[in-house]
Amino acid sequence: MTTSPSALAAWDDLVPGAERQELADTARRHFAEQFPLTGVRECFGAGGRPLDRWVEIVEAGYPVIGLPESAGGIGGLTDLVAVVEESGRALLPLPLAATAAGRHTLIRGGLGVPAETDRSTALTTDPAAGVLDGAGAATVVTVAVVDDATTRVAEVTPAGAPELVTHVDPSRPVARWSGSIAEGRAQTVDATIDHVLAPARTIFAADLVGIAAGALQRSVDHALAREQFGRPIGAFQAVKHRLADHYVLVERARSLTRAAAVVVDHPELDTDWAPGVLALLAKAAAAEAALRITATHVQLLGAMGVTFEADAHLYFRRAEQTASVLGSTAECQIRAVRLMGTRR
Amino acid sequence: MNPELLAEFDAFLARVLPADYHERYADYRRDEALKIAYQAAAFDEGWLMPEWEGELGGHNLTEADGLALRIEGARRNVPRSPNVQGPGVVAPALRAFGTREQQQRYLRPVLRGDEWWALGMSEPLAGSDLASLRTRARLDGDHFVVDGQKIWTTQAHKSRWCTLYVRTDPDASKHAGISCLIMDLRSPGVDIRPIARAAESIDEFCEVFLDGVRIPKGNLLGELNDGWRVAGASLEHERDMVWVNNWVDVEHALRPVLDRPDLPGHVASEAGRLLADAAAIRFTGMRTAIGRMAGRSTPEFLLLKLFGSETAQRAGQLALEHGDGRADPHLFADRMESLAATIYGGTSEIQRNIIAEKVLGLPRDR
Ligand SMILES: Cc1cc2nc3c(=O)[nH]c(=O)nc-3n(C[C@H](O)[C@H](O)[C@H](O)COP(=O)(O)OP(=O)(O)OC[C@H]3O[C@@H](n4cnc5c(N)ncnc54)[C@H](O)[C@@H]3O)c2cc1C
Repeated sequence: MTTSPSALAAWDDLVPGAERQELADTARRHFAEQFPLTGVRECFGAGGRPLDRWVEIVEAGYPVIGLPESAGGIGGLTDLVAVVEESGRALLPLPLAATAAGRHTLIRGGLGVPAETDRSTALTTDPAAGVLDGAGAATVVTVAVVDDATTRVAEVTPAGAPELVTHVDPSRPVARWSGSIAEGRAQTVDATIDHVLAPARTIFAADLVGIAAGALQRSVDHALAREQFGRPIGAFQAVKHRLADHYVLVERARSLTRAAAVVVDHPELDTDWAPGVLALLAKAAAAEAALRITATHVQLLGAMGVTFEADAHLYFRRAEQTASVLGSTAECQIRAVRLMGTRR
Repeated sequence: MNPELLAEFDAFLARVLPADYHERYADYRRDEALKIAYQAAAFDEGWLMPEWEGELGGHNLTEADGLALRIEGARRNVPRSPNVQGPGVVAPALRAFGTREQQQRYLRPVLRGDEWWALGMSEPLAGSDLASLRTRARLDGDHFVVDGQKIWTTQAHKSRWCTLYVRTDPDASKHAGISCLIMDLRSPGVDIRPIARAAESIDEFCEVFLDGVRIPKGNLLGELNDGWRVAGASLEHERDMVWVNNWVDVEHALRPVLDRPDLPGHVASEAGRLLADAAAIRFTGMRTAIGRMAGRSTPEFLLLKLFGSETAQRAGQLALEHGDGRADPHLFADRMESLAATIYGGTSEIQRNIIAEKVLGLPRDR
């Protein structure tokens, strides 16, 4: 029997059921207890990131969520984005989003999962520009346009230690390798690059939704606690209304991210958009939410917001570092329009 | 939803809509005679309130299937009710709060569109602060006697009935002393004066002056002094139709823009943002419906009116500037209507207050 795309039951995954909610709650507690923001601050020191703790993420089973069962996977992309949103909220200084994005792109390219699943993976469409969160990656997945309808996915093994570009966010640096890069498996698939990148964009969107939601919550907490003119600053409409708009931005991005995940898990529901368009829209919305909300968070803290001591710059840095991965908001929006325009 | 049911619905539409309805939708959508005929036919054949029982214009569908069918209807641009507040606000309120006699007297004609209804809430001095309303009703034997004034009362001059919100206990706190009365607009002492509108796309509205109007006690809707709850609950019922219509309207406005091959980058970017907004209205609406049916709390419901109506404004602006018929009078009419939509039903500023206070827990205004 065919399911109508309007049938609500088909889209049940837009709302987490008890099991997925439990998964997200557990992940949130785990990150809050084991990876507090002090760990993000420590990345500014000589030691850099706690890559030795990646094993804890592997042991928690997060990187295999949404992978095929044959590869030890469990659940779907909707489950994965629930966890990645939590890692975004915690500003987890480890490459969970990058790894998930790399692996799901390999699967999209028909290459299966990497042989070495205990180490992290990363993803790039422009190896010369560098690889977000690529340090420590056993392999990097590269994606390139062949033509309008064909895309090449390859897995490369970088040689030697990369140069780390850390000026924005040392807890999520961009890695650049100068030496030769050995290409391993590769495959050309009959799909647009946006179709191939749909899971990866959805994963980064979830990360950005988490960053945005975390910064919004902190803004609200501060607006309730800080008093001026004899009232909490959150009583002033200039503040209230801005936060209400930010709430809309977060939920807008969250709805799109979940929908983009649902259509990766259930491609038969993706009837109203060209393949990959929902993920483009989710990524655009999430980047916009994260950029605007983390900047407002700085503003609402007053002078405290531009100190090293306040956490606001950690959120702002993470948002700035991640927002343009796989296309900025404007680039993703324009691309979505071009794909929809040529559709009929 | 079962595909045969959808096929049955499509067959109904094919039978009752003109053959060129879809090609000439831009013209038909303001065709009042067609809207009237459609509402009656949809009632008679059970497609008006899909989740209600057969005698009340329904198909006995589950809430989920009913919403799915409404969504399918909106996507097929079915004519909207010419007196939206009748089936959309009044009928659900009658069903929730009305006595058996009231339901028997009023439900069928309001649903079928045989009797139109107006909502008597706003007053000259009580707009956003609706609870400060002053129109007074005092009991005199078995009648309420009402004095006061309503304003912006949509279609009062074409309606037979009005849900009239009045102060019945002047000593109670402002939310606690309000009641809802069913008023016959033909009663002596009712003076209805239409207000000239800025554009024809804005629903006609009126001033309604009330001078010693006698309303039978039996026309109280809900409990005495419980009118605030009746008002809140009856507006709730429209909740799903508002976002569904906003979503469909935004997609409609965008289509000609998306089809232009030569869009400059910044326009394409704004169009893409609206594409995201349209999908976000849809999926946020679906999240609230799915969550509600599963018994979950769905605070994001409170953003839909603000987000939907403001998005429709931006889409209308883009369509007017960059669509195919740049000086299209329909587009201007839509744009003008979209400006009203962020005022009626609670202004955008009030929506932001509600979100900030109820969802984010920020302090109340004053
Ligand atoms: C087309 C149309 C149809 C309508 N139909 C009906 C109807 O059928 N029945 C009915 O009862 N009413 C109807 N209304 C009235 C509508 O409900 C009111 O217009 C609305 O509640 C706002 O009230 P107001 O116009 O008095 O504006 P005001 O309340 O005076 O507001 C003016 C401006 O001040 C802002 N403002 C007010 N309070 C605050 C605050 N606390 N914080 C920040 N900003 C604030 C508002 O957002 C607005 O921008 C209709 C209105 C329109 C436009």
